[in-house]
Amino acid sequence: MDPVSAITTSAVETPMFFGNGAYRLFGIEHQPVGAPTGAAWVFCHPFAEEKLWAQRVYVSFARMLAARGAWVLRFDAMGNGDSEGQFSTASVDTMLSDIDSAICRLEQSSGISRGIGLLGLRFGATLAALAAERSSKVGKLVLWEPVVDGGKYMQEMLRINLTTQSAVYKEIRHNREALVRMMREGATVNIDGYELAYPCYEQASAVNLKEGRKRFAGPSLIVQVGKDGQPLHSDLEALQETYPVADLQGIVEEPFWKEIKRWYWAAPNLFEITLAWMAAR
Amino acid sequence: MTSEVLPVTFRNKSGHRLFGILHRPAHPCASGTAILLLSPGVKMRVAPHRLYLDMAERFVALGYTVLRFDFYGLGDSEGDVHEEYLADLYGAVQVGRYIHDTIAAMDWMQSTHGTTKFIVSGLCGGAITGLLAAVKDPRIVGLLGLAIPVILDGSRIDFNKYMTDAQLNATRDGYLGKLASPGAWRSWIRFLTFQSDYKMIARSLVKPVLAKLRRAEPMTAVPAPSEPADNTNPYFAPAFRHMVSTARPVYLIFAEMDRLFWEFEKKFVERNRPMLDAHAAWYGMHVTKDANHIFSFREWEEDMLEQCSRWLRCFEGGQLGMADRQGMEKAG
Repeated sequence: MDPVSAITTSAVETPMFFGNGAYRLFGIEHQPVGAPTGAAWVFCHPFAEEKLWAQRVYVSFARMLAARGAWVLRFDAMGNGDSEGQFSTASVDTMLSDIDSAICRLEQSSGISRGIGLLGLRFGATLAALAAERSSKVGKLVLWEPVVDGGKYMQEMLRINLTTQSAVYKEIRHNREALVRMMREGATVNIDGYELAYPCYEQASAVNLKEGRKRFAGPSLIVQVGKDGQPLHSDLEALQETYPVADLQGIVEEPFWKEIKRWYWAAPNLFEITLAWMAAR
Repeated sequence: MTSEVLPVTFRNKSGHRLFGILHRPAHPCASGTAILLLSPGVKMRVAPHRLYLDMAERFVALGYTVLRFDFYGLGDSEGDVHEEYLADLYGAVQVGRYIHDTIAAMDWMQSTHGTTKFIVSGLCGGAITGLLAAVKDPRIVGLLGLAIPVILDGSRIDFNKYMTDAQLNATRDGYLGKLASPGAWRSWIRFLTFQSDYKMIARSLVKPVLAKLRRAEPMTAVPAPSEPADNTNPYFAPAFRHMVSTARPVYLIFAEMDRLFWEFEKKFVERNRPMLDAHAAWYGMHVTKDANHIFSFREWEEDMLEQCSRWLRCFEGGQLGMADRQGMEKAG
């Protein structure tokens, strides 16, 4: 079956705000179409502008899962998308707290209190993996092209700022060291329009998913998104080793979380392998 | 002053459910005008780096109700958009794919909230959608456009061929700058491993030389009959003329480092000076210094927001088109 052709709009998709302490988060809840299977998934979005590029792939996959009887909650973390708050005040801590709130929200709506699945892409996958370590409600984990080394990822973010400086001013006015120093002193660094502050930078830089055995013992799927014939990345193999039960698969798709020539409203190979994995569990 | 922020949905002409966010001011402005923030490209109703949230917050503070929503097939909305390439999707937007969704949003605002006057606003694809929708719907009383495109995108369009001199110069400077930078080795690797755009490099470096040579030639080259003169959007100038000639103000903000600004100057302003002069009272423009297409640095965004706010205050105060109105009164 062609997984993309099977996308249907779920009968009920409810946009809403739900609370996490002092602020409100925006989310869209997809109710199962037809008989519920008892599956419930919270989608954790990627970081900054990667979230927007990947948006439609998330929507399409949420609709596919709902069409197969699952509950899905897609939500925006504080300072992202339509949620309240500023990006500059978000951090790994606040993002994990937001995932906890989203799980609670889905639990209330669906009546499903255990075995909720977390699905994430890029740094959203990283956060999903971290959230699974601290919540007993999480039963399944799907990590699409996870960022394993947060430090390296944050350096990529700083590079975006350097590229913008270079394009605009024809010179680098603040190098990496200066940018980090500025953040440490309380300023923010602009990453494609997003104001990155030191708490987020520091906490994200400290993340290394390869370190230590994972407490989460449910089934996990790690997917590498790459080119045809590309070998599995050693970081992902090392990540797989940290889980008691984890599958690692490589599939061919373009990096739809950034600007590419193609319009990615769905990722057929990624969807197919993920659906097959879900169906087997 | 606190405002109300609500998720909303409504249906377009084809029955697709469109998702949006409505911002309602605590103290609405006297004119009762609402602002529609139309989605740019595929970046949905939040826009790059949540630009539309900042715009909505600023506009609501001035008393405007703001609706930002996703067009069909994009963001959270229903429907499908199946172009293979983004450039083709952008091209479809530039010729008016989402005019009817914009009209559906106004219909919903009118039936639900009694709003009958709208300013359309947005970045890039959102701005051109607003301009084209204004031709079809008189409820649109103004356009506040950011980085509005005057050209047509498409995967089969050779942009190298239609680049303005300013674009070629900037491209050439970019290449030369790369060669002088500490990371020049990366550029050389790309160049030597056939990853560079050689056509573009040649054109940006050679065209200035050719231009000098051509100045000495008495004859100009005649394009082949099947070759379009350029890639200008044929709907742009008529829509613009229609708007300003019906006394609906247009305010455009561009980013100085954005190719769309250079294209606007070269392919619209230079070719339409008489029309622009005739309707100067209804048209204004601002260029944010150094800024890129998405106004990403905070000072650029702040400059753009300040200009938007200034124009909206003038709009609400009935100060736009004053010269034209006074002229008409004298003539009368």
